[in-house]
Amino acid sequence: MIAEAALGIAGGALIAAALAGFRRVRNWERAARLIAIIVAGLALLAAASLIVIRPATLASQVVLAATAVIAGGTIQSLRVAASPVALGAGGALLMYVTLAGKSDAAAPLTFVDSIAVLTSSLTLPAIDVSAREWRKAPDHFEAVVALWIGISIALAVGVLTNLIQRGTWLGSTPEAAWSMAAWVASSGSLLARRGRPRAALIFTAALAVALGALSS
Amino acid sequence: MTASTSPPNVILRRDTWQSVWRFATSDALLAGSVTGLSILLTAAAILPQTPQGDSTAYARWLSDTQIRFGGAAGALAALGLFDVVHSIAFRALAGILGLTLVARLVDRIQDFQLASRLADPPHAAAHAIEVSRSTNALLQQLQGYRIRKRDGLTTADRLPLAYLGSIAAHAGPLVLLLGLTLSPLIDWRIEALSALPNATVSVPGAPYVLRASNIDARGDIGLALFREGAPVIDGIAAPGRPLSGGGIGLFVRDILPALRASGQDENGQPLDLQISADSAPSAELLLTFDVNRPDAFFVAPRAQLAVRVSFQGQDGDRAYRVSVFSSPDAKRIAEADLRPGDRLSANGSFFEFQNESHAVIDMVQAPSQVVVLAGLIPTLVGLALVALYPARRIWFIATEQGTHILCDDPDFDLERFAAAGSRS
Repeated sequence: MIAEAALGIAGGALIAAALAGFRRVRNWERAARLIAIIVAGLALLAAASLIVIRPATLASQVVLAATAVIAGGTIQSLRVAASPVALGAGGALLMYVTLAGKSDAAAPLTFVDSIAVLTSSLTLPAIDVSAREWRKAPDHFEAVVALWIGISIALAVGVLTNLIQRGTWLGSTPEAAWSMAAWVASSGSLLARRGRPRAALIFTAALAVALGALSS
Repeated sequence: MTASTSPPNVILRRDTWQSVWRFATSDALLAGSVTGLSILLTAAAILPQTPQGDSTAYARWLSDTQIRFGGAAGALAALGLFDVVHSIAFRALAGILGLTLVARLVDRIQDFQLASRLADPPHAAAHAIEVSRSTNALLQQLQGYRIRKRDGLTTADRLPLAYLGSIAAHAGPLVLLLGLTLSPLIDWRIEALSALPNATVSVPGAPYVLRASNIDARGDIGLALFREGAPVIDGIAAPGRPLSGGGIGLFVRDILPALRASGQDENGQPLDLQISADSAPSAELLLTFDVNRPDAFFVAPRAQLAVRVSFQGQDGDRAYRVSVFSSPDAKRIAEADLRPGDRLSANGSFFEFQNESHAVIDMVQAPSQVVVLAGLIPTLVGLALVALYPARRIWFIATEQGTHILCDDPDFDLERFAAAGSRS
């Protein structure tokens, strides 16, 4: 798993480097938009098919490829302002990986799973907001508000479920720790004013969601 | 000379306190403590945390961590990363977060008091813009604002709801932290009590006795809790359906497999079975299984046989491997994969295994949960208000060219606000 993750990050870095290099090529914007639209379409198609097919496990190569593209998109967001379509593509892929991780042929998707899937799709836009805010450029903080609402609903349902089933606030699963880390950081970002501390909090929250999705 | 040197000292002292206060209320301190807590929680998600209250699970965890981390296990344990929530770093960061929340709460209350007065715009407003439209035209675009006017100055603010939301968003987490601090002091929790069908078990470390009835196919189990002979709780529980009474909650964590084992010799006489050397011989034994104890053993001294039963089922399937050994030479004389209801013969004796279940019960008394809930609700409501309806003041100053607008909220896009009005 560590080797796969390392390969994924390396692949993502290569994609980001390639994208950065391509930017100097004429008509780059049009080509990048076309690639992003194709990736977004395929990712959404794959995510939709998972709801119907619900395989018990997902091939690790697919997860690896998805991780590479997501990492590439993340690095691109941090290096340069990514286009909304590219953010959507990365978000849809993360949603795909989250859904695949939660796939269980025997069990239906729960409400918390649905929220986790939707929240993971907002991760890349949130990282983009964080990067823009770090560079003191105009941003769209609404993406972070949507991320916080998603995490809060998932956390509230998780807390209620745990209270009913075990009499504790939080479960002892890694997923509970991820969601709590993401909620604490995203809540902190709502209390902070615009600036680099808030950018750091948004980045931490988005990273916790992404890591939670990839490890699910 | 003295008179000329005194004022700078006074100013210096005042500045120091202001610096301390600014640091205590700063976003950097808030972000630092929150990011630190998030990183530690992330570590808790990655590293296996120490199991509490279950010695077998603890032994298994200890063995797994030694194999997985080797020599680094000691260093990680010393850093508290195997028990993050109880580590000094986690508590210190939670303390710092509490301190900064107190300071920021005082600031928010002061903001509320200031906003309730019609004040001149601050010298350092977050941003400002000059537009050629009249104040009245601009005010028509605003919704959900309270408008006040005085001598050519107009202010729009979101009193009192947005400001109260901001106060709740800071006071709520403080109450929540208080509840979490009280939890280890006033709560108690007894985990993984094994409730056997039609058996009574004393609750360790507490003056309670728990009695369980049969467990049916749906997982419903009748539970009765007694304190010094007097009933405290009596009813039907199931996973996800707890029982409560007298401030205590009984939670069925899991329904796990069990087998009722019996044996007969070649003449059809029941074998006296024993689970350990000092246990009383019995015609029937109840064997329980869980993830940490997949094997059970018993002996039939009269037939000179020892039996090992290993649970092998997955996903609700109940399958067992039964091995019979002769005594005293420990030679395996029979082995078979069985399901509940099957029989196994060995050296002329028969063993029969009937399906049973046992329940894992958590017993909880947690008055601090009321405090946590009292903090969680205002936290969520306050943060939702901060996110969707943030506290904000806008000043409109009528000028010869139009209106000079100032705003104290850096997230409010004044240019878009002005442009939206001009388009319409």
